[in-house]
Amino acid sequence: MPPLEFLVEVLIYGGLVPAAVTALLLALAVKARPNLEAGGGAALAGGVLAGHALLGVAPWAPNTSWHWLPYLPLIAAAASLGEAVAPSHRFLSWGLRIAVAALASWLLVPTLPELQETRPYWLAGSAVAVLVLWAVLQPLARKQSGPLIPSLLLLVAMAGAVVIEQGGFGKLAQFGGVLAAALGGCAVVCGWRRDRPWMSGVVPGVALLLTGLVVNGYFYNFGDVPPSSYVLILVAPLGLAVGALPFVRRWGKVARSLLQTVAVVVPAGLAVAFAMTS
Amino acid sequence: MRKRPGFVLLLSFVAALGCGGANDSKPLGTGGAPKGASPQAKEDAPVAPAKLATPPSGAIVLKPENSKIEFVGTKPDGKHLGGFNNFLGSVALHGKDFAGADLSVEIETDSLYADVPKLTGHLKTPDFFDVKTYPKASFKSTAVKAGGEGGATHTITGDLTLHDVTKALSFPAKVDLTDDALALNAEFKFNRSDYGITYNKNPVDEAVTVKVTVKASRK
Repeated sequence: MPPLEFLVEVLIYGGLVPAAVTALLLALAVKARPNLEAGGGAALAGGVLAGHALLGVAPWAPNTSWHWLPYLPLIAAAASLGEAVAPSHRFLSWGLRIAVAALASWLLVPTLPELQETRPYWLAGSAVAVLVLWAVLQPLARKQSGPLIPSLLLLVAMAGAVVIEQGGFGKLAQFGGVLAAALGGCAVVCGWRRDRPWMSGVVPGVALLLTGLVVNGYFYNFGDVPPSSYVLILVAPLGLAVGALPFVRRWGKVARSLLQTVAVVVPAGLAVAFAMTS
Repeated sequence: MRKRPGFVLLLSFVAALGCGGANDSKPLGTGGAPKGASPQAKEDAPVAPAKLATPPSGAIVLKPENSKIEFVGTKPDGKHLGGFNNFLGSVALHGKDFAGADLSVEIETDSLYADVPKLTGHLKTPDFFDVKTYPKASFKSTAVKAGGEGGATHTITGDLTLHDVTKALSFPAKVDLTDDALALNAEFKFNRSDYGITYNKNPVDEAVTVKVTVKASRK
């Protein structure tokens, strides 16, 4: 059992502060520009960078793939801003997403000797994962306000942190905890102001960070964690999409939320169970 | 009907995960962990073996069969023991005495083991040794002088390279050099953060103790 001092430090620096900074920035965005969804992206970036600064999990000047993680929400926030400025240009929007996904993959996939031959596939696969998460989650986040989406994404991030920790990579797991905490801050604000879909600006950052965590967690897995755990962490957020199925949309809000919760929690829970029992 | 290429694309990512890349290299077969050690993680997540430098001819070869390189990590509520299963080094003598000898060793970091299987894996991650990025660690002496602290026969000064960071350090060693064999016992400490290993300074102490034991034949 780690010392109490250490646990308190991790909880405050990696939990409370990122959550508070994200909530504060999102609340400011809500107050200042209530029609600018990109404020969500900036809030996530602020919370993640605050946690990164206090925990010191990676150097500010990146020299390996996972060191880029803290900067991904900034890239996503810039992309969200771009989308907010030109929301009606579908080709421009997709071009921006593809460019961001490609850049993120290039930064996130390690340049290890063992990947010399397969790295192009990993680059493509990671970019695809970012695009899928982005494309599936953002329309949902635009339609569905309230704290459910950030809360379920928080659970996925927490599950991801546990899976990565089981693989032995403590710093990366702490970073997963920072993402979860930042999403907790989002959940508080989204619960407070249910009138608008503030998460739509947050999800691009989540797509990038979650993919980056999973890819690096997989490559630096020195435990017995099976690949299925990492896949399930990436798949889990897509469970939110069941809320958009035509016959589910006719259901009551509680039933729909319950189904979404099950669709997200089951794969995330399985990922953790596989990681812990392997 | 609206097409959903996203799910098809996701399958390609899943396929990439399934194809591996992280775990598809062959496990190492060198060295042997001491009894009680736990080298399982080496087989769980093998890394491409590092090419260790060949010792010069005529030098005494240091290898896992005649030497041990172990370490002790401490924390407030206990300690953990570990070591390396694969390394290759040499002691080149210049004369009859050990003083003035050239000592060097290269260690394959992925060959590390710890007393707890899960810790073996954790020590290999970027939290500590980062064996995928830094597959080798090394020590190369710059001076070996007679005499030393605590009853040591010699003091060895040299450069320790870990995480691509090279720092000079000095440590006492008890050396017994005969016509037939070399016996060496040394113990020293280094601060892991000097080498960029900064994970959780609070629960895991800064100083790491290294123990080197050599019982090598000169023939």
